[in-house]
Amino acid sequence: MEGVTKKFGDFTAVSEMDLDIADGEFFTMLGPSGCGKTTTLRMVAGFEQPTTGKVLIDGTDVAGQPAYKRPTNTVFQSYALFPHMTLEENVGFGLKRKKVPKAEIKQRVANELERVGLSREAKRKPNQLSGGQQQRVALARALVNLPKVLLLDEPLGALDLKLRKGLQVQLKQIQRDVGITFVYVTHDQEEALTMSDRIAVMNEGRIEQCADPETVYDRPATTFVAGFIGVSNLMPAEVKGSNEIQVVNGPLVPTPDAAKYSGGEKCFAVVRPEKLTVSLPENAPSDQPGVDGIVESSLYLGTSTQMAVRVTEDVMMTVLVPNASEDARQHLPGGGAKVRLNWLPEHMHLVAESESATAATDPTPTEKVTEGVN
Amino acid sequence: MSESNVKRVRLLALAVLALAVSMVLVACGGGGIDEGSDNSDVTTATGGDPQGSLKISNWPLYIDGATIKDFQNDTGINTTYTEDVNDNNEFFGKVQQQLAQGDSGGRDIIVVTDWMAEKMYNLGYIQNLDKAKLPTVEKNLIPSLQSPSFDPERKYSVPWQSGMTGLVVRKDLAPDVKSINDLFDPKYKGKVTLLTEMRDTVPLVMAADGVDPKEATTQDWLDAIDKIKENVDNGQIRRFTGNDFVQDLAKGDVVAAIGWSGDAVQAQSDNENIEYVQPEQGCSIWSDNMLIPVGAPNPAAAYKFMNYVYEPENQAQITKYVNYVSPVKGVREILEKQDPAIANNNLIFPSEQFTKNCFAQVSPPGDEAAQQEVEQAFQDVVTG
Amino acid sequence: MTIRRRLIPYWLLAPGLIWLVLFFVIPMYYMGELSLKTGSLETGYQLTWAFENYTDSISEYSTQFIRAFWYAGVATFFCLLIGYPLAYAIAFKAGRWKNLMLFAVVAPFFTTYLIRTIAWKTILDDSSPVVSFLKTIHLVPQDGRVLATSAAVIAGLTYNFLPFMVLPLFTALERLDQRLLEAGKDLYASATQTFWRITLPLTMPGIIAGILLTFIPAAGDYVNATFLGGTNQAMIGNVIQSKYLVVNDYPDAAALSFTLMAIILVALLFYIKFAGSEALMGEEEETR
Repeated sequence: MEGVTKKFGDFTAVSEMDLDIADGEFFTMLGPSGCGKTTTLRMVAGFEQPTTGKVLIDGTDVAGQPAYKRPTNTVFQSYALFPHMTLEENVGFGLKRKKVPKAEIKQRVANELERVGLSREAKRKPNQLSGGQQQRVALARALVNLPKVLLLDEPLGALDLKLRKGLQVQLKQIQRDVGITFVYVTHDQEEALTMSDRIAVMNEGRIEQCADPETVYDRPATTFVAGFIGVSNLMPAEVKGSNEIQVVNGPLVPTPDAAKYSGGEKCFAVVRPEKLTVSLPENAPSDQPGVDGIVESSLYLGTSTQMAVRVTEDVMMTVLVPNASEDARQHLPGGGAKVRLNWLPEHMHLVAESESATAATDPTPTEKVTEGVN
Repeated sequence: MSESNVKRVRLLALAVLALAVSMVLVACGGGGIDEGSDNSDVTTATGGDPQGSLKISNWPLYIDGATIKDFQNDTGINTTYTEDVNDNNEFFGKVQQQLAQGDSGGRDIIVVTDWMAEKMYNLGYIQNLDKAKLPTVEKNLIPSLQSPSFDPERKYSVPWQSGMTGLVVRKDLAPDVKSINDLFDPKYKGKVTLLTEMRDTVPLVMAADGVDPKEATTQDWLDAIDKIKENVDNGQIRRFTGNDFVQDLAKGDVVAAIGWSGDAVQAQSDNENIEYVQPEQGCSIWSDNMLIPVGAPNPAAAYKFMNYVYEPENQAQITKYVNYVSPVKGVREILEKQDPAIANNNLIFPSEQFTKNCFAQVSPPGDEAAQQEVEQAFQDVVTG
Repeated sequence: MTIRRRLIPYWLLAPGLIWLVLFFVIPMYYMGELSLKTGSLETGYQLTWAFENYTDSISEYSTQFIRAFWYAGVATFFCLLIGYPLAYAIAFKAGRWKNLMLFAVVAPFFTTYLIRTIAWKTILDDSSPVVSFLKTIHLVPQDGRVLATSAAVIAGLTYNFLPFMVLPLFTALERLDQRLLEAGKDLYASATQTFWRITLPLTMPGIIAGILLTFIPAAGDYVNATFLGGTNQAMIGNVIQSKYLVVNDYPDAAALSFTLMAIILVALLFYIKFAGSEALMGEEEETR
């Protein structure tokens, strides 16, 4: 996509977007409700036309072309299966429109249903299937056409957690098998991290960061990305020279990241919750940087314990402590205890403040947000 | 489509069917008409002191605005005047079942045309009148209406208003229509209407062919109906109408029609090109009559009202408004002073010369069954 | 579950059932009985199992029966032809005018059926602008007319029963999931193909309901033929009306009503069987 903007009246849903998706890539657009990700997808599909800019598929500008002329297919969040047709007819619909010979249609439809494990249900109607089965039919209906790009709009959004996990694996498997480019839209960061080759994190019609899952997770480009992917542990910091920062209420920490900033500049230091260790100040390792705080709460999560530690008035840090042994867990500091948080310098990453004010303060980014029409 | 949807459609279809069936039922009435009836035991309406309330059913636009109020003020009788007779047949269909059970529906006076009065009387739905209670009517009824063939002694009917059935034409568009037979002139093809009431239309057609309607046999009637059918089939006759013939004439869609004199007078005041033409072979004269139905709650008040409207002063007030032929003596003299135009109108006070060829409205000969056969033949042309 | 609780559905059913028995079953019974009687108003009517009332009246009035179904059929066809695009426009294109347009569809109901029909006499009268226009474009011959022709009766029926077609169609269209249309376009179906393959089959229940609601009352109508028709354009409803009101031949009137009902019922069953079958409801056969 080159310089794509989409406006609805006064509202700019997508602004000046440049995006290059590689052939055969599993590409995910991640962001909160209303961030423009679905609008972007619909522009690729042809349901919306960009106000300005180009949409290139295989080097051809398809902007302005209607949906039915584009080499794309879509898997809708609501499945959008035709209720008056059997599964076979649903899956064969696109091939029939493309005037593929009947025998070939039959074969390809059978193969595709086989792939999603619904051969026996071929003669049934969609409303006789479960939600997960319907989703698989929707996938088969799109994939059977061997599109250049397969667009998936929160395809697992309506399913329960367990089913979702299973289908995530299947979906990734299928993508590897067919080698088709997948463009996947979701607001679920975990889903994005699990499946994608690359993730574009979007906010207010712009891409905040576009990178592979590890980079997005470990080295978020902005406070918004840091906040949206996982729990935000943001410590205000000031850059001191080219290789050191001063963390609020804490020590000078050496970091190569500082080179990107000029001296005296404000920024944030990010450390992921599982990379922090918590200990009583007297037992703290002296060779690692650390800050002091007070334990506010402690939550048992099964595999780990999540602790909230207040460092200053406005800075709250989350720590995940693996529940390696029951004994160790019993001896974790309780509420009100003074503790020290430590981390390895290489686990710390600096981010600039996001342009958008709302971003960093998004309180519960992992919570399910119902995606409206963007 | 899913199973449940199919079921839903089936249910809907059934509901629709039920609706349709009930509509047909409503349209066509129900049963319960098993009892035959006759007039072998007709009672005479008794009168006492006229007081209490009075209920009258009459045709629309058939009385002026003041008469009922004046009657109430003069007599103290609380009067309900309802315009619920739009059509003889329709009114008969409406009240027949009640009347068959001796219930007038609270009505003390109903007004219907001669032949319907006779039909109702023969079915035993109408009471005889006590002439002693009707001195003003006896005194003022004009001689020409004193002994019609259907009720020669005026035993059970008192004329309300009379009128003529003849030709109503657009004198600008069809100036040469003088006879009923001119209606069948090909140059007026598709511009001619007839009345749906058989007793209005058929006798005029017979008379035009030289058959005396009073002497006509069943075959004469059927021949005339055949002649009408021919002209229906060849497109000469545009349609059959009720009162609405005047609207077709006013628009010029129709240039000549069989119609009623009173409607012609009223229409002429809006469009001076509309004119009643007395057919060369005569017109049909009919009356609408006041009757006291069986089960009438207050015949005494009914007598009082009949006498009241037969006072020339009171009748003049009605005549000025309705423009039909008045059955009451002395009205013309009063109107000559008040409104000479009406007094000299041949359609409201027809001269003997004007009506010399006219005949009282007739029904087909024979009993009810024979009449029904002719009526059916005519209706088959109307609803062909 | 207690017995009392199990009886609740029947109690809920009771008012409807009583209503049906009182105003449907009982009159039907009397009608049926009356249609098999002979006699006259004067002599009374005796039950003689006169099935000839049926055979005679059907053979005698077959013209009017056929004409009624023909007029009603053509009117229903035009209602669908006009009503579908109208309902489509109201459902999808009207935007904030939607309610106003729906109101406009229903608005004629605020005047009497009779008055509405008579208004058409003015619209179609021989010297009206409408008729002059039709003559100019040679749809009507120079010496021809519209009023008092079959065309006028059909136009009247179409006009009077159009809302009965539009409303169920509108409901069906509004319930249509827009995303299915997007899915169709996504799967290479052009707008036309999307309409024939998805929109039309999915709104079939509305079409069926509309056709039934239009055709059935139109077939029994007599008002339009009375006011807008001329001679030899009477429908079976006119015959029944005249048999009942004018000729007072009640048994024949009842027999004709029953015959009309029976024909509609049979046609309806066939129609539902056909329309309700999978064949029409979206089986994808390659005919185009």
